[in-house]
Amino acid sequence: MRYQATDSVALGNQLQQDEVEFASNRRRALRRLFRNRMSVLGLVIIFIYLFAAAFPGLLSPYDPIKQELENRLQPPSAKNLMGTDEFGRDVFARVLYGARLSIMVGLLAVASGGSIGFVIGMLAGYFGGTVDSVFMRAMDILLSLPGLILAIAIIAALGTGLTNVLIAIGIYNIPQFARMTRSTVLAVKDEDYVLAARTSGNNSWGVLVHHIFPNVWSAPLILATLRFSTAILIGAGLSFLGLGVNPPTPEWGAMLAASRGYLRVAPHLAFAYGLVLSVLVLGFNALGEGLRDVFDPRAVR
Amino acid sequence: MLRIIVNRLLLAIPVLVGVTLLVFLILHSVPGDPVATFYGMDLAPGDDLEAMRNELGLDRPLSAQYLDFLWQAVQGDLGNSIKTRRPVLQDLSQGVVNTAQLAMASIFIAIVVGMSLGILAAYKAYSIWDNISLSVSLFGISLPVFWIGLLLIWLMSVKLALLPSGGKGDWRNLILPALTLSLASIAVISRVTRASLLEILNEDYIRTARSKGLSGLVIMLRHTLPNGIFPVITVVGLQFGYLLAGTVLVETVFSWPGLGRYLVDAIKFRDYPVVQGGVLIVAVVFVVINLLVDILYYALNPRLRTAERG
Amino acid sequence: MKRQRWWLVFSTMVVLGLVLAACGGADEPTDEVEGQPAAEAEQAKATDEPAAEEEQIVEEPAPAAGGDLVYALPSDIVSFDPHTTRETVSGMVNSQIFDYLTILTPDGSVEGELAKSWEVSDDELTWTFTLQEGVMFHDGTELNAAAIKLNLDRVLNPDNALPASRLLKGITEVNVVDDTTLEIVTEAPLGALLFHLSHYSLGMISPAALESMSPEELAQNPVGSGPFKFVSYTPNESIVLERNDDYWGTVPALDTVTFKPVPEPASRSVLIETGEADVVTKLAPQDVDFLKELDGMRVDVIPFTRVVFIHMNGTKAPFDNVKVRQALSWAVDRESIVSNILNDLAVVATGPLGNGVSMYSPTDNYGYDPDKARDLLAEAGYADGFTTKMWVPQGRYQGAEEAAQAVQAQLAEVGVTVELEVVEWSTLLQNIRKGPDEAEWEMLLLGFAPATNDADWQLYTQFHTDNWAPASNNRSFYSNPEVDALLETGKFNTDPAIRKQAYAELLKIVIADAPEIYLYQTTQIYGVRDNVSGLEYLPIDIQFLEKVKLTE
Repeated sequence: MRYQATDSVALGNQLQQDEVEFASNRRRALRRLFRNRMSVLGLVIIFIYLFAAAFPGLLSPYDPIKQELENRLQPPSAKNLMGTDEFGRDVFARVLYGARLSIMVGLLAVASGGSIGFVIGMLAGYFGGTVDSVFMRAMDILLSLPGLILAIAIIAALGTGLTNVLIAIGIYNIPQFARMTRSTVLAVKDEDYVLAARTSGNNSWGVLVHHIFPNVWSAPLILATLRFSTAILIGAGLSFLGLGVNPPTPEWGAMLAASRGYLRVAPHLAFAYGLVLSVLVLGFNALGEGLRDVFDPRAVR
Repeated sequence: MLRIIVNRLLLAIPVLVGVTLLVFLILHSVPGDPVATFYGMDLAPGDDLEAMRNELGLDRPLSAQYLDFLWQAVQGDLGNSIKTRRPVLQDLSQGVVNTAQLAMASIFIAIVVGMSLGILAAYKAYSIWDNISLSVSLFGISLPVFWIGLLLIWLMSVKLALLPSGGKGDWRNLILPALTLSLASIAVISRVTRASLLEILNEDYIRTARSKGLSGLVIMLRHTLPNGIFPVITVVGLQFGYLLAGTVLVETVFSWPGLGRYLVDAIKFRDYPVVQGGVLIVAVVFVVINLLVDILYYALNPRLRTAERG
Repeated sequence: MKRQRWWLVFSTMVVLGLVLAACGGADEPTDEVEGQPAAEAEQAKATDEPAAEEEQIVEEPAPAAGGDLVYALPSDIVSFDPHTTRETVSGMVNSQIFDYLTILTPDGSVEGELAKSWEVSDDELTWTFTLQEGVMFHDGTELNAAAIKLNLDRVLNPDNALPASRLLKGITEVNVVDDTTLEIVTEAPLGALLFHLSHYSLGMISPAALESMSPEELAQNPVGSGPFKFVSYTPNESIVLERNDDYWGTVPALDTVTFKPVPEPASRSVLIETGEADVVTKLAPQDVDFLKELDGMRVDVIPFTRVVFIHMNGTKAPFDNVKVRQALSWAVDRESIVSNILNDLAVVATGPLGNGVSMYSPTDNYGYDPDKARDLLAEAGYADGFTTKMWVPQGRYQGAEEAAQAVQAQLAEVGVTVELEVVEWSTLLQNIRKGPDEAEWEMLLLGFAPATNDADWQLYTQFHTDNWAPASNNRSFYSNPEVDALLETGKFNTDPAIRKQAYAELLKIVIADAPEIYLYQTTQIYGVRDNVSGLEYLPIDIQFLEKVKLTE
C-alpha cells in the first residue's frame, strides 16, 4: 500500500521512451506478450478467477450467505472444500461469490480513479503552464496525505458500504495515474510527429486525441494491473479497521479481516482467503511484470 | 542549489494549505462531531452539547474556524485535543518519534534485503536466483500486512518465544513490526535495483571492464552499483515517506504507539484538532523528505544539476 | 527469458503457502476441540469455570512480593480528570488513583469508602455522611468535608459542563457540617443516590490541585487520595502508577501497576499467552477455548450487566404494531446465538435489565417460536413479511456484529428481510440523537449496562416518555403511562422494597409491549496469569487493585 507512486515513477521513466517505438510495433508487442511466460501465467490466473466470478453456481452448490450455526468453523472436508466460517457458511462458496465483488471493487476502483488520473495527466502534460501547476499541486495534495488515512476520512464522510469503499479507493488512485501519464505525455509532446501535427493546423484537442493518446495509453494500463492488487489490499485494510463493506456481503477483504480473529482456532479461514487473494494479486502482478518486460526492450535479450 | 531549495519550499506552501483545507472540509462534512462523541450515549441534554460546541468554537462559520487553525498553526500552536484536552503537539510529536523509529528500522531492513535481492537478481539475471528474488518480491506485495503481522507474531512470539509480540520497549520490540512493514518496500527496492543495474550492465564502459577480464562480481560492485544507485535512492526516499505515513495497520497489530494509530483514533472520534494537526505534520514530513531526496540526488549526480525537473 | 521462470515463481509461492499452512495446522489442542460439535465442547468447559474462579479468590497468596503488575487495556485513557470521565477504561485507571464517597462491591451492592456511615432524614431529602478520618491526598492536603464539597460543587456547577453532573441531578445543596460530617440535600427523595455517588467519575480531587490547575492540567495530572499514585503517562504506550505507602485503607502489595493500551483483541490474547501482560481485559470470545488450555494462566469469565438488544422504532410502520414487534421477538433463536456465535460466553437475556443490577427481578423473555412469529405477522397483515433496515454499531459490543448477522438470517426465515448497516460509532451517535420526526432508524442494535449498577440509571432513560430521543435513550419511542408512573416510583423512593416491587411490575409490562428485542447479556472475559491473586471483579468492568498480589 505504499509503493504505488514509486511504481508510477519507475514505470514512467522506463516507459516514456518506449512509447514511440511501441506505437509502430504494437502487433509485434502483442505477440511478444503471449510468448512471455510471466504474462501468460498472469492471464491464466486472471481468466480462471473471472470464470469463477462469472459462474460461481457451477462450481459450488452452496449459498454464500446461508448460515448453519451448528456447523461453524469446520476444517476443510469433502463436503466443504475449504471448510466453514464463523457462521457455518461454506468458505469455498463465499470465495467464489466473493470473486465477483472483489474483482469488481479492484477493477472499478482502478478504472475510475485511473481514468480520471489519466485525463488530468494528459491535460497537465500537454497544456503545461497554469493548467499543469494547478492540477499537479492538487495531485501533490492528495499524495501527501497517507493513502489509508485519506481513505478512512472519505469512508467516515460517506459511511461504510461497497460503493463508498469503491469511491475511497478510486480517489486514492487518481494522483498516481495523473503523475505517470503526465511524464509520459511530456516525453511524447516534443516528438517530431506531434510537432508536425500541431504546426499543420490541428487544434489542441485533435492532437491530444489523435496523436498523443495512442502513444501514452499503454503505460497507465500496465500501472493499472499493478494497482489492482493494491486496491484489493486497501479494501482489506479498511475492513481490518472496521470500515469495509457491510455484512453479510462476501467480499474478500472483509472476509480476510474477519478471519484474523479466528487465526488460532480456525486457521483454515485466514489461509483460504489469504491464499485466494494473494494468488489473484500474484496474477495481476505477474501480468504487470510481463507487460513491463514486453514493453521494455532493454530487459529483453 | 539554494534557489532550487527555496523554490521547492515556496511550492510546498500551497500544498500544505491545500492538504489541511481538504481534510478540514472532509472532516466537517462527516456525520458525527466530537461533542456528540464526547457525550456518548448515556445522556443527551441538547443544551450541554450546544454549550460545549460554543466553548470549543465549533458553532462559528467554517471559514473562521479554518483561518483560526491556520493562524495558530503558523505560530506553532495546534490547539488541544477535544477528547483528552491535552495539547495536540505534545502527543503528536511523541507519535511522530515512534513512527519515525519504526520507519527507519524498516527502511534499513528494506535497503539491506531489497538491494541484496536486486543485486543478486541482476548479477545472476534470468537464473533461478533471479526467479527467487522475483517470487519474494511478488509475495511481499501480494499479502496484506496485518495478515503477515499476525502470522509473524504467532510464529516468533507464541511458538518460538523469541520476540515480544508488540508494544514499545527495547530494540527487540522493533523487529517484528519493522520486518512486517518492510516487506512491500523490499519488493519495490529489489525490482528497481535490478532494473537499474541491468541497464548499466549494457553500457559500453562495463563491456570494456569486462573485456579487460575483471570478474563479474567486481564489475558489479565497483562499476555498476555506484552508477546504478540513483533510481534506488529516489525509491528509498519515496518509500521512507510512505512508510512514515502508511504504518496504521502495522501499528494496530503490534500495539505500536505511532502517529498512524493516533490519527485513526482521532478520525473515529472526530477529534478535529488532532486530525488537522496530524495531517499537517505528515504533509510537512513528506515535503521535507522529498526535498532531501532531491537534494541528495542532485548532489550525487552533477550531470543532473542543470536538467529540468520532470 | 528462460522458460522455467513462470512456474518457478508459482511453485515457490505454493511451497511457501504450504509451509505457512503447515505452521497453522500445528495448533494441536484447539484443532481437536474445533473438530467436535461446538456446543458439547463448550459445555464440558463451562462447568468447571465458576469453581476455578472461587478457588482463586479464596486462595491465600504467598508473602507479598511487590512487583509490577502489567495490565493490558483495550484502549488508551481519555482523561485523568475523573469528573470528565465517561468510559470504563479511564474509570478503571482513575479508580486506582482516587477515592469515592461510596463504592460498588463485587456482588453489585454499594458500600461506603470515604463515607464511613450515613443517615437519611425522615422526609428522605437530607443525607448526612460521616467521613473517614485522617485521609490525605497524594499532595499532602487533608481530605475533609470541605474538600468533598469543593469537588461536588465543581461537578454541580452548570458552567463547568462536566459529564459527571448527570449523576448528581436532583441535588440542591452540599453542606459542610464539620470536618468529618457532610450533608447532601436533594429536591426529591433519590432512591439510587448511593449508587450514583459510587460512579467512577465522582472521584475526589485534591482541593489544592483543583484551585491551582486548569482543566487541561487536571486532565494530565491526577492528584487523588487512592491506593496508587500517578507516576507517568505516555500516550498510546503506558500509564504507570506506584503504591501509595500512606494510604489510609489497605496499602497495596504491588510496587507499581503498568497499564498498556492494546487495541487489537488478537494481540491481547498473545500478550497473556506469552506472559508479557499479567492481566488482560476484553478477550475475544473465540480465543477463550485455546487460552483455557494453556498452562500458567487462566481465563475468568465474569457476568456483565450489559444487555444487547434491538430497538424497533415504534413511530415507523410496521413497528407501530405491537404484534409485529412480538412476532420479531419470537422469531429470534437466542439460545442458538448464545451457544453458537458467542461460544456460551454470554447468557440469554431475561429482559431489558441485566441480572446483577441492583433492583433486578427475573422475567420471562420470548422463546424461539418461528410459527408463532409467522402467525402474529399474518394477524398484523404482514403474512408475506416486509423489508427493513438494521443499524449495528461497529466494534462496540461483544459479538454484536456477528449476532446481528444471525438475527438477520433468522428473521429471513419468517419472511422479514433485514438489511444490515454496520455504522461507525461516532456517526451512529450523531445519527441516533434525533427526535421521532427525524429519526431514520428502523431497527437499531445497542447494549446498555447501568454504570451505577442501579436499575433507575438505565430504565428511566430507556423507557420514560420524557426521555424520547434526542432527550435521552428512549429510541423505540416507547410510551406507556403505567410504565412512566412505575419508573417514577422507582426513582423517587428510598425504600428498596417499594422500588424493587415497582421495577418487577414494570419489566413485565415492557416485555409484553416488546419495544425492543432482548438478545443476550454479555460477559467480561479476562486473561490472568497464575501468579496474580486477589483480583476481585466489580460487575461494571472495573477492579480495585489494592488487594492484588504477585507471587513467584
